[in-house]
Amino acid sequence: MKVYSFTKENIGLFYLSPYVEFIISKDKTVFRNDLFNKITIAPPIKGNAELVIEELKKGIEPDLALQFIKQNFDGNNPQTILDGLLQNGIIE
Amino acid sequence: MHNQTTEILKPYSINNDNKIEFVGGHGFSNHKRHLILNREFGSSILIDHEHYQQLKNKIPTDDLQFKLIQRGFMKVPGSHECQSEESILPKFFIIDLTQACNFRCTYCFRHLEKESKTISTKVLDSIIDYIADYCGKTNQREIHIQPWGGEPLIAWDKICRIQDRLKGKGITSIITIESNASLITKKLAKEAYQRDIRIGVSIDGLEEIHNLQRRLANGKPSYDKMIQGMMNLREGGYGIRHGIISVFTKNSLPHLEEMLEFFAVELKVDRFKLNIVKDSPVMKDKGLCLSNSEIKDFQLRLLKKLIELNKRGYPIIELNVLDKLQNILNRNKSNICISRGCMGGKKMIAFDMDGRIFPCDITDYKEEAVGSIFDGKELITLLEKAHKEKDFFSEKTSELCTDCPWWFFCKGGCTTAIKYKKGVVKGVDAAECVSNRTLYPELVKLILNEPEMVKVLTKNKLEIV
Repeated sequence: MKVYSFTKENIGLFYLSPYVEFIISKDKTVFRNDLFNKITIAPPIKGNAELVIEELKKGIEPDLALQFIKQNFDGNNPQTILDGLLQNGIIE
Repeated sequence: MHNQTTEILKPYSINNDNKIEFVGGHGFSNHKRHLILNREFGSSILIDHEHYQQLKNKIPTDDLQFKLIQRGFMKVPGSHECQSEESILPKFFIIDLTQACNFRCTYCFRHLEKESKTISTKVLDSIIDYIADYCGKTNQREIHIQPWGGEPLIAWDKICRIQDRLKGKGITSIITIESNASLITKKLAKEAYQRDIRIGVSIDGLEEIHNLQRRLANGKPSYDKMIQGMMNLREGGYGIRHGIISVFTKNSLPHLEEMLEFFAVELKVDRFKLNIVKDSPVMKDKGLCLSNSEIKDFQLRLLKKLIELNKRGYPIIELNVLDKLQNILNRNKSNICISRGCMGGKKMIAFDMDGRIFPCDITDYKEEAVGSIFDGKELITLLEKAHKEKDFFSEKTSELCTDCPWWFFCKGGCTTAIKYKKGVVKGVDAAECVSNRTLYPELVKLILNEPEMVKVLTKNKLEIV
C-alpha cells in the first residue's frame, strides 16, 4: 500500500485511500473504507483489475477521473460510480 | 538524532457557507514534513510544510480540505463520521487443548506443574460444532484457530481433528500454533506443512538465557531440543517461514542486540515477535519483569538495532513494530489481539476444556467466563450480555490517557495483562502504556525522517511516497 506524503505537486490528484480494502470478483467490485465503515459496491472492473487498482494507487487527475471510471468499470453510469467512490471515502 | 516537535492542533471552523470544521489533531513535525494524527479514530495524514501552515493558519486550500475530509480530520454537513468501535464478531478462536507440558518456563502464568489433562474428543467436537454453527450464522467461511496449552503439540491428533472437522463443514481454518518445538519431528513437520499449519517456535534468544528461562520438566536445558525441532520444521518444508516468539525479560535486556544479531545472522530469521514478560502472582521469578524505564530502553534499542541490521543487509522485522507502523499509517488490524486496544470478546475468544467461553486466554480465571457452549445460547448473545455486565469490557483509562496521541491504538492495553497482574480488571496495562508512549513517537520520527525504512520494516506492506 502506497501512503502519500502530500505536496503541492500531488495534493490535487485522486488516490485510492490507504484505509480501503477491496474484493474483486467477476460480477462486482466491493470497496470498504475502514475509517467510515462504508461499503461501496461498484460494477466489475474491465480487463486487468490489478492494473486498474494500481493506477488508482498511483493517482489520477480529477479531470480524467470520469473517463478513467468509464474506461475501466462496467456499467452505464460512470458518474454515479465516481460519486459513490468519492462520497464513501474510497477515493481521496 | 532527528529533531521533532509535537503540538496539539485545536479544532476550528472555516468561516464560509459550507460550514467546514477542522476536528483537531496532534501534529508531529520535522519542519519539512508533518504527520497529523487523530487520537480518537487513529487516522493520519502526511503533508508538507506549506500545507501544514495553511492548516494552522485556518486557510486550507480546497484540495487540502478534500483530503482532510476523506481522512476524517474535517467535517462538512453530510460527511461520514469516523468509526472507532469494533463490532462483536469473533474470527479468532483459542482452544485450550491440553494442560500437559514438558517444559517448566520460569514466567509461565498457568498452574500446570501437576496437570496433564487433555481435552476430551467429545467436548472438542462440541466446541468445533459450536464454532461452525456460529460461522454459518455469521456467514464466515475462513477463521483463525489457535490450539493452546500447555504444549499444544502434545495434542497433535486433536489439532488435526479440528482442521478436518471444520473442513468437513465447509470452513477453512487457519491454524496457528506457538510451540516449544521439542516435539517437532521430521514427520510431524512435514504433515504440519502439508496441512498449511502455521507454527511459531518459542525461543528466548541466546542459548544461556533460553536454558535459564525455559527448562524441561525434568530440570534439564531445552535449547538443543528446541533447535532440533526448528531444524526439523525447516527441513519439513517451512524453510525460514516459521514464526519466532520470544518472551523478553530482565535477563534478556543486556543481551538484546546480541539476541537480534543471533536471529538475523545465525538463524537467518526474517521476522520474529518479542513479547515483554507479563507480571503475574504465580510467576516463580518475580525478578524477570522489566521496570518502566527498562521497557523504554528496550523499545528504543529494539528499533535502533532493527534499522541497523536492515541497513547491513539483514531483512529482519519485529511484528509489534510492524503492527504499530501499520496502525499509524492506515490503522490496519494486523494484530487481532491489541491493534486497537483489547479485542478480547470482540474479535477473539477462548474455550476451556469444559466448553466454557472466555474473552481471551484467561481460562484459568473461571469468573471471567462469558458462558458455555452447553448453555444453549448463541455466541453473539453471550458476548453482548457480557459486554454490558462484566468488568473485563469496561473502559480502561488513567490520567495519562487524556490527550495521549496513541489512545486509539492502545485504549488501556491488554485486559488480560491487567487481570494477571492485579487479579482484577482495573486501571491500564502499564507495560503497554510505556511501550506505546515510547515506540510510537520513535516510529513517527522514522516516518518523517527516514520514510524509506517504513517499506523495509513492514516487508513492503506500506510504502511512503
